[in-house]
Amino acid sequence: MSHRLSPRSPAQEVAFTFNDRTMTGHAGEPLAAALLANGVHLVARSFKYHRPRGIVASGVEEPSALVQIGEGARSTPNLPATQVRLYEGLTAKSQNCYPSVGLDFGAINQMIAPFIPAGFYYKTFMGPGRRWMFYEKFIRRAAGLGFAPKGEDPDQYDQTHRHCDLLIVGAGPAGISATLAAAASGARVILIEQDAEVGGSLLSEPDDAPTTIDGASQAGWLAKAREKLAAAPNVLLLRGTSLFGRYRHNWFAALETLREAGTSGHGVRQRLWKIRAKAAIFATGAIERMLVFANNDRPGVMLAGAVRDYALRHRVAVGRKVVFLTNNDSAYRAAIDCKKAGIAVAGLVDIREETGGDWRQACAKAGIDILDGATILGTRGRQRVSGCMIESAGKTRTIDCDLLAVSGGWTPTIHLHSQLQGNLAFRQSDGAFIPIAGDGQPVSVGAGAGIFDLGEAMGAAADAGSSLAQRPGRKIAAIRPSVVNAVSGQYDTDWHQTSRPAGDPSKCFIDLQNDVTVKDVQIAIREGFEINEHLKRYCGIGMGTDQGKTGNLNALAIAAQIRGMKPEEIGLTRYRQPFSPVTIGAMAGQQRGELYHPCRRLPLQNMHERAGARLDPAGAWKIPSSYPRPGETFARAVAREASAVRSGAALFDLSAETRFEIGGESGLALLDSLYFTPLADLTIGEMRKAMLLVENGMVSDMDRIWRLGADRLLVTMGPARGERQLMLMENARQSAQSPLSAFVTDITDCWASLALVGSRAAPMLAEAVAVDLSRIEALSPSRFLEAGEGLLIGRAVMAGYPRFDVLMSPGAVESVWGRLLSAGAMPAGQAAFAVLRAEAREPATGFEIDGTVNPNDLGWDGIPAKSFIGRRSLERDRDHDQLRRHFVELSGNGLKPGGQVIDMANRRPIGYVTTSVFSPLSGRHVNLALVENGRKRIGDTLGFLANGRLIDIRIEPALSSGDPQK
Amino acid sequence: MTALSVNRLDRVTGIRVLEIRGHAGDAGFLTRIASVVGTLPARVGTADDDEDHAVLCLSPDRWWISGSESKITGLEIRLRETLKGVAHAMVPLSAGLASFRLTGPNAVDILAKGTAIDLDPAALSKGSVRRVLHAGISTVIHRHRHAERDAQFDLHVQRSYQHYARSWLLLAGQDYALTAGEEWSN
Repeated sequence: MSHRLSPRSPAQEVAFTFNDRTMTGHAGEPLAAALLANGVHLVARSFKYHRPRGIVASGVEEPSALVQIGEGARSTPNLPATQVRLYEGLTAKSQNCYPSVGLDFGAINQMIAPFIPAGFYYKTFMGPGRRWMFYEKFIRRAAGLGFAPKGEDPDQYDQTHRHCDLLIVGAGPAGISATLAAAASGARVILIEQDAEVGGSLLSEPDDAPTTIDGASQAGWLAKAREKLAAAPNVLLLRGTSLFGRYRHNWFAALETLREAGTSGHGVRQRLWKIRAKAAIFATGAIERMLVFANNDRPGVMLAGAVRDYALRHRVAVGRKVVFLTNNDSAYRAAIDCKKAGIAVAGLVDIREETGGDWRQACAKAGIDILDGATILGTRGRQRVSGCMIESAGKTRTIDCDLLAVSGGWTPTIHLHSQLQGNLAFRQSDGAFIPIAGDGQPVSVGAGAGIFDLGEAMGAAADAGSSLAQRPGRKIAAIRPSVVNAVSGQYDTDWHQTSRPAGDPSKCFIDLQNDVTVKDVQIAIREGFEINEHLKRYCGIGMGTDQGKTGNLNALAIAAQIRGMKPEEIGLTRYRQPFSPVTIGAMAGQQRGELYHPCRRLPLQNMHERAGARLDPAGAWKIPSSYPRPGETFARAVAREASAVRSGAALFDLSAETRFEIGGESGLALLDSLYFTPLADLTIGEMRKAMLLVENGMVSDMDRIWRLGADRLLVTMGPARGERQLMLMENARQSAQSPLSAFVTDITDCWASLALVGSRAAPMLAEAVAVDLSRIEALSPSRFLEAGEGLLIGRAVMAGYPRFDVLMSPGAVESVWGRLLSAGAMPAGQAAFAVLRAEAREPATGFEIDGTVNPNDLGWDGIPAKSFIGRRSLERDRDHDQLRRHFVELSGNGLKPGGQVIDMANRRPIGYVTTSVFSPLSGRHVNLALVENGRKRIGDTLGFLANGRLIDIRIEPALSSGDPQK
Repeated sequence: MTALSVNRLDRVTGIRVLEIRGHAGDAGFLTRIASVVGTLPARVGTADDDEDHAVLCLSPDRWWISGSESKITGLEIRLRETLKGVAHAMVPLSAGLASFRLTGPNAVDILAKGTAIDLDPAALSKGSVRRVLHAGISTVIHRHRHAERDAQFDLHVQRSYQHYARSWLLLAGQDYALTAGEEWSN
């Protein structure tokens, strides 16, 4: 049976399913409206007690009617039915119920409810601690929301940025007024509205409303305003967009939904807007509160404003016989409008002793019975309200109804104001916290500022829009709408906590989403959780998807009553971002799949991939770790590649290393002042390995410095160090006492680099690039030469074999690589390079150089007589050399990196293994370690814990195949 | 003025970029450069561009000169001669850069997805340049001065990021039917 009222305009009918039942509704209307139009009130089961729950509200504040939308990977849980727009084929399911929402086995929790009040599991499942993981499974199954989809989300999300002069949140009458006033000045304005339509409260006004704005009906004014907004080139209007977060320095985050959950199709489904505004206005309206009474959670108990919204805006009669229950005047208007729309109103119960005269007369004129000075004792019915029990003048009566429309007053939507600790003032007359704008802070207007008179709200908003858009040179036009016959005035709210008969076990819910009752608050306070933030965490009040939008203030007032205090003395809990739920997809935006993080490609990346190289991450790079042949294990491939140095040469791609060019005549002086290694005597054509420390005297890195010319130097270092090193050098350069003629430029990508290591490296290189290497044959100092094709060739030694580093333009590397392979070089990856490094006993960053070792620990004697980073700390640190760990080698097999080295005499750990690799060159494991006072223990037998067993190991000096100081 | 009705991403090839460093307070340095390249923008974030080359001021002591290979090579030779004896550094960057040209009515919308700076013409006017973090990587964005290129941006990224940057821009431009040439080599 349809519950549709006569439509205002023709609507497209679409089919959808709810709990596998096919229904029809109007495209674009909220799912909640469509369900109500189909007579569906039982929509969900509650979080903990699995009580039947229905639709309560008409907006983002909906606490109960959470549904799972869509199927498979596109399934989205926990969406309020009020926020889902209807489309053809939509599938929605109730959550937290089995086997169905009508018959839910979980409802057994209601029978054990006395044993599971708020916080019960904090006490019940205290121990033993290891059992928590066991309990958790069952707790989660018993109390939960929807299910996360198992497959990868196929939808596309993105993020974007915008700047504006003025951001206005909320496109109701106040927000529109502010926007039109600001836009007239030429300011860049962004107007954000979470609804699909612009208009706010004006969308729920009756056609025959007497109010006029600028001489037009409200609907007429709204239509014109929409045209103006669309035509204004300086206004960006974002509909269907929820501004969920306010952050420092007027930075805001908003979520725009372009396609509903569960829909398939191309294009972005949701977009995250990151907005930087010079000023902001919050025209966020107000949210109606629930009243707290026995069984106030039964389906069919709704907010009065929502009942009016569904009737006037969506043309749905949510009940056939409605009772209004209120503590303020707004419900009178809702009752009258519903009656006029054709909904039978069984009566209006006002819990105040005396009610507003004008409204009383209007109700009488509309034929609505008023029962004032009354108390509600509860509701009756099973899965839908069938009546309510009222006590008045000492008598109890039951009023039959199928819908109870409740209004507990209106709370300005202060969440955005509160997110950055905006000040609030409590207004006793309507029991609401009102935002107080600070200097330079966003300004709240309209109902969001506690201004409920339409004319006053629109006028103040227009003034705010004009003044905040003011900038030098901008023409300001004062546009203040003229509102006549506004029906909304100050709401006379009587803060009241309704009672129930003594001994009545019925629950009075405060927070419907988290199943928090008055009794829970009493328990919490009794147990000492009195402060509002403690109360919130003990009970769960204000948590979840609705963040307590309808219940927070009730919780606060009840807590105040229990403690004998005023609400303002307790204060509100701080609202945090987000105002409304945000999908993980939107937070990830474009950063997924291959764009998860920035990725760099080597000039030879395609060749490495074609060669079947195993690529491992190194910072943003992916570099070859080995080139396994078909059927070859990784370990064998590494051994083969490392062995190539013995009779031939291994060819490594080192293009990922970071490179800086230092230009200017003071370049060498700059580097000499930074590095531990003296560089002042570096000659042109010489390359030197240099050690860099940090301020605490610990070794940071080992870099190589190439002197290219009188005023040109090249610094090469490991991958992924560019930004940090550049900052360090720039800092030193810019903070020098006198201006240095030294300039640092990151040229990492301007060069490609290969390393050829092996006994036959020299002839292979000479053959491949036709170069005479005789000039750089001497091993010490390491020298380099500039060859044809723009090559820079440096010579060093590694693991006792000649090593040639060949630097060239990225465009040349493919050809050089190919020629070297043709000359007999074997492509080798970083794993083989690491074997050679260990064989050479060279300490490496991330292994031996782990932030805890100083140069002396690594075998460097003395402190150079010059300035360098870390000098002062290093001088002090040498006083404690008995406790320092030295770089040593350990004999033995089965050692694992990270494993502890044990002093057998007193069974005390005195160090750890840093590197342990099998070297095919020496046919044994090379184990490098940092051991306390290691150099004094050479020859000692120590212990190593391997697979639970202590094995003997011998400590040896880490003898480099080449003196590391050279 | 030609109306740009489609959004397009192209690789800019055949250009040479030269970085010049020097002390902005050194009048001799500035004068000598200006004598070779013409106007030298002194304010950070501004560019002086014409049809065959552009001079971008990226920081108080850093300028980029970009243009055709032949043009910049000629300028480089003259600059090295002119700047002898003056504290400076000059580094050719072309080998390490990848340059894109983004054109079209939605060029700003596409770029705005990747960078937090204000791209509105009021804030980033024609003839402006910014070094920003775009899509997580350092990018130089240059908005051309010429009126007919109102919706044209040149983007310079490190060469190794070019595939990532291209993929990112194409994804960002899907909403706006952004088209691009063939995949570029490493």
